[in-house]
Amino acid sequence: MRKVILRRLLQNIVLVVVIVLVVFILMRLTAGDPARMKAPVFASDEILQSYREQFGTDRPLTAQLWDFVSGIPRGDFGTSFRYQQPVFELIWQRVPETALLAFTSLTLALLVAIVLGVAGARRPGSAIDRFGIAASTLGQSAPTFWVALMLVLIFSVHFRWFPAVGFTGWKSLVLPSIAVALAVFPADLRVLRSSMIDTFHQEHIRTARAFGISNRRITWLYAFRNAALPLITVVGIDLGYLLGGTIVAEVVFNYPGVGQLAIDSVNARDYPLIQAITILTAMVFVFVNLGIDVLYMVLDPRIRIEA
Amino acid sequence: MSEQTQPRLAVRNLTTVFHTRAGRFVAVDDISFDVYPGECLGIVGESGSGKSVAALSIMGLVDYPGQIEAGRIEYAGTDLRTLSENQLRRVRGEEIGIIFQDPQTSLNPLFTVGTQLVDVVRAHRKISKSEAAALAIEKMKLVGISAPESRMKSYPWELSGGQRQRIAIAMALLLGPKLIIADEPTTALDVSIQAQIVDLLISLKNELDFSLIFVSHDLGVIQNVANRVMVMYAGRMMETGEVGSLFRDPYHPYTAALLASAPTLRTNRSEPLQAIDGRLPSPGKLPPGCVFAPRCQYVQEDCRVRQPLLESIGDAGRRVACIHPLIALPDEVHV
Ligand SMILES: Nc1ncnc2c1ncn2[C@@H]1O[C@H](COP(=O)(O)OP(=O)(O)OP(=O)(O)O)[C@@H](O)[C@H]1O
Ligand SMILES: [Mg+2]
Repeated sequence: MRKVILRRLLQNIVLVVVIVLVVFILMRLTAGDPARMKAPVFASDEILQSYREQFGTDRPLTAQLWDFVSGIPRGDFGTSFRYQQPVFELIWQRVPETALLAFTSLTLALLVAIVLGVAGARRPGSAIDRFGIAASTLGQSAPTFWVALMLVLIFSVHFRWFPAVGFTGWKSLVLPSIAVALAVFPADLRVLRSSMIDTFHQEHIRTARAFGISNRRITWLYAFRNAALPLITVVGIDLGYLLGGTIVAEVVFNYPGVGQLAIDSVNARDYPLIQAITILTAMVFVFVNLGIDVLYMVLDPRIRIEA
Repeated sequence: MSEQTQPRLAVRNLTTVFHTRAGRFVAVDDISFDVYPGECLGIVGESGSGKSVAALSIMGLVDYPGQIEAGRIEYAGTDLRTLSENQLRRVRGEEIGIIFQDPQTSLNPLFTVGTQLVDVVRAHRKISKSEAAALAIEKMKLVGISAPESRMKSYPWELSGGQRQRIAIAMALLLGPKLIIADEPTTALDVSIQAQIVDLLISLKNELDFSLIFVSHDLGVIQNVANRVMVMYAGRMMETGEVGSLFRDPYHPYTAALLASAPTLRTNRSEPLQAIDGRLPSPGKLPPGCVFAPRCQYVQEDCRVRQPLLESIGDAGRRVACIHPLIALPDEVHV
């Protein structure tokens, strides 16, 4: 088991390195000069050149790459072009807010998916099942920015229950979390519902019933444990939607998180910031997926023993 | 057995149907039978004849789209059909145990043998985990599992087929039920192990004195295990009686055909094995008269129009659903 995890970890580190290199090169190949973004619109060539020297973007690509790579072991990810601050600090300040938003969104999404998915699987075609399917269709087809705007219109502007922008405590989390969760839960619900229905038809469930195990225990222990395996896989894939949705929600709600910083950094061609955010995001993916592999092994003894 | 003995299980006019898109299928059609204390009732019939559905109906385990449409299932005097789901839950496992065909799929792959056994005990008894485990280990010893303590920590898929089925039998025995239903308990096993499992069930039954319903394709096994047999075809009861006399003198042409096609029963090896021609009618399209008429080699005109009723004929306890049974009845002798 430990060997498998170690191998997976090494593979993922290689993957992160590749991603970082690709981002490094792609950004410098695409149009847009960080100096122009920083300087006033009609700045002279000298001013632009001085910015380039300050940023180091006038130097050859290999030298820039070396600067970047050699800084990483020291925890130095460079200085933001736009904010003139070490990017590590910039990002670190905003991680808690984004992590909080991602966490509440995922929790909400899973809660809805589990309640509706299990209830629907117990009685396929029932009112609650049809409601779940309709809600997931809606969630999948409504774009997050639109949902976010509608939530603001209804609950901030009209009812004034929740703040529309910024971060001023738990109330600021509610609307962005709902907007993100709505995009994330449909895939969870569909997968859980269908794997739960499959599991209910398996013979070991009939055995449990034949021996007088209560329905509640059969559903939440015997069947759910079997059906949770595909759900966990989907949660790993969800992470992409979760981060994408978080960025959109942060922008719409002007929520001070890493997502906003990412958008800003792309607009400003703030190379060090973009690179650092990419590394961070890739690492999150790697560790979450590693966690999922471990969870899989914990839940499914067949995999644990093979490994 | 005195005549006063009450049956442990008395099934009356059980009818179980499936509502599918193609229509209403009668899987079990108006069958009645008794199971007495300490006896073994064998149920035989071709694949699809409704044996499993009958067995599951007894325990109220027929799932949507299936439904018990009529009948009474009296266990120790109570009609199980009148019980609430929670009352029925207490009967399952505690009063009636069941052994399924394939222990590979009928045990949960994600939980250890010990967890599953302990869970069954604790669904019925308010005792500690270690007490429940002790009971599980005791039953595992009873079914001949070596080193039961360490087997408790095994997952079902870590065991051999025979070991798994022994675990399934131990599960059925856990709470000391007075009736055990075994639905083809050896079909999924290696031929070399089948006899061991059958012998185990016979000796357990003699030792613990439970009643047994033994469903099987294998007439040879039924002959060894059962006291009485029920022959099913297309959801209906064709013939029932004491195993010895029924196998010696089948009155129903279907029973006779089944016996002639059974490789393990052949006493006269010079006679060739006779496969039964044709197939079971599909449950949606049953012939109007006797359901076996299209395949019966003794079929007569009235068989195709009149549905035979189950009637007592000949020796004690024998009942046959055939208009022209294979017995020389007094009035036919003179014809
Ligand atoms: N879930 C279901 N939906 C529709 N029809 C079903 C269902 N389960 C069983 N049946 C029908 O009920 C009939 C009896 O099936 P059953 O499983 O009792 O046969 P069996 O005698 O046990 O056969 P086998 O020897 O193969 O186990 C079959 O015709 C089958 O098609
Ligand atoms: Mg069957």
